[in-house]
Amino acid sequence: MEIERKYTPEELKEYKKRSISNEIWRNYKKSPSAMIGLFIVIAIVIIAIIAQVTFSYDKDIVQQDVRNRLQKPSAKHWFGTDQYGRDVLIRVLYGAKYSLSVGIISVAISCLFGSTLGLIAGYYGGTIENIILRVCEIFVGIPSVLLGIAIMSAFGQSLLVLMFAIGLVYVPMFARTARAAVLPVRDQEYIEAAVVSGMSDLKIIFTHVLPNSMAPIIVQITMGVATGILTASHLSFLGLGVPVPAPEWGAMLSGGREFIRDYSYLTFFPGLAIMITVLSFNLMGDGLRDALDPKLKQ
Amino acid sequence: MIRYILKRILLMIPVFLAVSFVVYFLMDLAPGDIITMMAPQDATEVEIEMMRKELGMDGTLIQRYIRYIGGLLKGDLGMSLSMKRPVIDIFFERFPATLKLAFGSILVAMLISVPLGIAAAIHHRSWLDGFSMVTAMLGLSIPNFWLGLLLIIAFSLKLGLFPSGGSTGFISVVLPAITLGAGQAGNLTRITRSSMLEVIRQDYLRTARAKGVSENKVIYKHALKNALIPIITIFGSTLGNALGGVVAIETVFAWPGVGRLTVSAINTRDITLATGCIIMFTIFLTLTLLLVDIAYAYVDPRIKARYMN
Repeated sequence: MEIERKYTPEELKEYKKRSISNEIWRNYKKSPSAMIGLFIVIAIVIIAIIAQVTFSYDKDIVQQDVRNRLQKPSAKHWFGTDQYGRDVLIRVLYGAKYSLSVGIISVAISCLFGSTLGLIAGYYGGTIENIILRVCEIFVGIPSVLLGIAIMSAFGQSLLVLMFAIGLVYVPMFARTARAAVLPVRDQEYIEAAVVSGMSDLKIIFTHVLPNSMAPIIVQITMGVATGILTASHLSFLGLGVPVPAPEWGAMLSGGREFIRDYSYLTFFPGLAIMITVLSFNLMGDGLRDALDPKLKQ
Repeated sequence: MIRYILKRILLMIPVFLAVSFVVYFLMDLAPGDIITMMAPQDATEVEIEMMRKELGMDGTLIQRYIRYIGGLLKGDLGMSLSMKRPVIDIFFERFPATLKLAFGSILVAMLISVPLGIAAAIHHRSWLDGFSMVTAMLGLSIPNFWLGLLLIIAFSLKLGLFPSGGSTGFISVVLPAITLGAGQAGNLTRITRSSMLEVIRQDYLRTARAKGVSENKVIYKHALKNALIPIITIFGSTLGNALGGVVAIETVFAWPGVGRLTVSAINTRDITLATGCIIMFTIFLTLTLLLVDIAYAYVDPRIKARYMN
């Protein structure tokens, strides 16, 4: 008996080339706003790296020059100088590294712990799921900024503690996302088949459950970087983030508040930098969501 | 339904206890101790120890926490260490101001987002749709404390239309409410739009049109009613976000609310005041979520039927 072939071998090869990541990229490219987001993010990363190599922290970023204090934006100082005579443009450019690193590392922390918990909760269900969800509920009940402040004051102010604090604050968010993503996968027949064939739980989770519930987690990661950057600048603004004189955007904004009446550019530029960064990560997240699940696109 | 509500309320109690433990423990870890900060310079060890005892701060962390939790179970949040007054009194003195701000911001958010979201959905893929989505995205991405400062620069320092801080009647709530509402509006616009888009495609709308109902009636009577259901659910989390966001906004506008109170309590290491405020925040948030769930059941008969079974 001859098997009826739907595709020729060549066609199948061609089909194989269209891997999932290629497919996602093809969909992602279609959205102009998502591409704008991606370009700005890449630009900010490049700026952060260049600023880190070109400027010296001691000489350009924190050294005070009182003779040049509070100069309004000019050809020499595009964004003006602050109350200690430091160039605001250089400080804003250099500050990109703080926001990026806090955003990315804190999301890595919350994604690692949160997704693991969510996967376990969703896959095993029952008592374990109940315990994990209840613990998440405790942390969701506390407003995130207040929890962040409490953690910062307990462990002291530093960049490292800030990353850890924000990472911890958003663990429940990832746990819930991952659990919700696993639930529809758990009841699929291929999982049942894997269980019957004697595969270990760990292997099933990594080879079948995780790849099939990845999409919402990836979107959450991009959006999480945006939220993380916002929360970090929030804490720094309240004086509980990266300690001064580091040019963290939230802290710069807070420092410029005193001079808001006559030197409003001191608060304007750092805030603009925060908004552009957060906006571009949000645009990327939106684009990824549509690219990963074209059905959802409206 | 009543059994469900009771069950939910009972389930909240362990959550509150756990919150109190987490915050109390974190506050204890923080360097610096309010007793030594408050004691006079020449106080002896014995005097400091007496102060500690008087304020209930003697003994190990576990002993202190057990004493605290004992009071908490009787509904007593203890005395503020720095102000020497019951925490509950201090909290409720400042709570109305925060509530005013939170509800003001939700009102602003609703007024902007519901019409914008509906218009975007009706004119899907038009310039109006694009405009509303860009606005929503900006609202979501703008740091609210920065927006607050920009509004102060424009409307109070330059134009002199609104006060730049403090709570002095209706006019003073306008700028903070807009500041806090902008972010919520971003989220709500997107939800209104997608929920409306989903409803517009339903068969019953086609039926309504087919039987000759006017387009306006189709949108405002048949579609909107159904599209509003998810918006109600969001109300709870919106209020939650608003309460979380008040911390910075109250600082920017010198607003006499509980957000600023909590931050200063944490900074001065006033353990009982900080823990008490955060517990009250949590209680208020969880109760709102419960109320929203109940409201949800009443609005949508399908959900009510699920509870009944």
